[in-house]
Amino acid sequence: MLHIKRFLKKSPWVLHYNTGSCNGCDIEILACLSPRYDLERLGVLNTGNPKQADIFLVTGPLTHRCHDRLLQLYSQIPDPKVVVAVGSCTCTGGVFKDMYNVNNGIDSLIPVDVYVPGCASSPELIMDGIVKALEILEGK
Amino acid sequence: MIKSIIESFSNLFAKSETINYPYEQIAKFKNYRGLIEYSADECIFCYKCEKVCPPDAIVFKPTKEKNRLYEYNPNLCIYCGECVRNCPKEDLALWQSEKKPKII
Amino acid sequence: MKKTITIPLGSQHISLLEPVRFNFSCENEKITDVDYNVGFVHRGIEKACTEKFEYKQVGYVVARVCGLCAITHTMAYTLGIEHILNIKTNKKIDYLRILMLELDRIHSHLLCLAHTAENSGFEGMFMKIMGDRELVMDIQEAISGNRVQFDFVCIGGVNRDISTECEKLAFTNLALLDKKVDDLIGKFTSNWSTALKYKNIGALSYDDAFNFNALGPLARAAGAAIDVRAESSILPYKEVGYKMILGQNGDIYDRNLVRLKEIKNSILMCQNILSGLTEGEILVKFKGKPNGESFTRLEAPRGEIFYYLNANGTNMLQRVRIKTPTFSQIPGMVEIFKGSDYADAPAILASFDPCMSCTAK
Repeated sequence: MLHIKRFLKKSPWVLHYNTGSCNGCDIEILACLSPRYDLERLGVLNTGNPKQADIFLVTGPLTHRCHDRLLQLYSQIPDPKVVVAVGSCTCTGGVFKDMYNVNNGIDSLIPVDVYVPGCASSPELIMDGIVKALEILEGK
Repeated sequence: MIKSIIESFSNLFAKSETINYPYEQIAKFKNYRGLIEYSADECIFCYKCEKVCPPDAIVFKPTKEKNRLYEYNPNLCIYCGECVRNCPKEDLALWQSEKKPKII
Repeated sequence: MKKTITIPLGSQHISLLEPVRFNFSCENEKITDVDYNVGFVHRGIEKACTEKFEYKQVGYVVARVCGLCAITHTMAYTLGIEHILNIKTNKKIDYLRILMLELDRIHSHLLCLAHTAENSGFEGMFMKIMGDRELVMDIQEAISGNRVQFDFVCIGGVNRDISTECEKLAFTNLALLDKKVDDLIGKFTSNWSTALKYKNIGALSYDDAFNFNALGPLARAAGAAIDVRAESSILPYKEVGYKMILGQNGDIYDRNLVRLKEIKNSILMCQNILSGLTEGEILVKFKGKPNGESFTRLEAPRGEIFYYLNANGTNMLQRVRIKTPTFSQIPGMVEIFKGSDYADAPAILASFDPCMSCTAK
């Protein structure tokens, strides 16, 4: 089974950045913090500061404008860090694939540990992804 | 004031709204739009699903045999269900299951 | 001594869901000038709609312009294409379409209110509103099969019929939500930390609402009667009990109240639709390829949405132009920021309910 107790020893904080998604996954991440799903049970806290974050939630297919910002945020997160790509467009580009201002997924720029498919990913899938990210963080 | 005290006491004994997800399962509604599933035995290879798919998640790859090979990328799919609606043998050759996609 | 300080907000900030950058020039506590940058999420959807996708696929692509008003985008596009193709839909299709539009409006408004509460530092209120919002999300999931991106509308009708179980669920959840919204109205009129301290802050006057081309709840809070639902008869809104809701002062307090009352009105409309649903086909068959042009206006949760379509008789469209409500609200937003306190900036921003992925497309 899942060794939740082991995870609770650590309290990973989450940084969220939108690189051009449709807002669908972003409001689902916000819904994850709502009472129905409540990510904070797993010790996860949403933070605005990259220097305190452990898990990097990225949504969106990476537009050219967000390219440098994403790289900067990624390099500011201290090791060990886990990158979770939320949504189909973040994994591969999705419907935005091959549009002129889009880089076809964030794995063209930074290494991604967990791919969460879905358009828009439901809170259930996002929670699965974060549980998996916690497992990876444990091993790192 | 009295109203809020009554409300807070009733909330104390009410059932928790949170679903303890990794332990409990979240109840899904009927006809949840999940993974697209395919059966090669029933397919008539009209390639309609390949044509209508907006992000090209369904691709028929050419092989040495007569029929092409169906390939589906769940990380590219947007789960709109347009392929299923255009399939001439809906529910037999191509259908939208209620399974959630796998996380890699 | 006066000294101007420049404070950046964004592109990554905890109170922002999406990347947008503001540069506030401040003198002491007052904001004197604002520089904004909204193009972070530009993907090039308009171009791709004319080059990459066929006209039947475009409906699914424009839904991904914005997740909050996804159904409105698809709906506006579909109405435009149906006008070109001369498709007449029946009453049941129209009713089902309005039902989803109004459910979308309820969840979008509730999210905005939750966000306003969070930005004013009231975390418990945020949790409460987000908890109530799940009632609407459940109805949406039961009807369309997905929580955010519905993909419910297609050219000629709708993709799914509504079952009796869904109807029952919708009735119970809407009745529950109606009570909870009454409770919220009480909290948003009497509570100091969410409501009363925002009286006369971030106010947009009646004249300015016209001068700066304000739309949606922003204009209606200032008393300007601007609503496509009342002006256009493309969807039968008047049959199902639409009522215009107006505010007076146009400040954050009024905007919140207008949103709450609109939710009440939307709930009433949904209940009317569900009890007035008739039997009928959900898909009208059509033939041919689109040739001609069309203009469509529709009321999104944030204001008027405008689509221009031009087709030349092939599978590809020639031009798709999308004008979204947030785009025309930005001048008004800048005007309000000037002269207000810097500490109120996140609350003003949240009360505007800006949608940057709509604006940049």
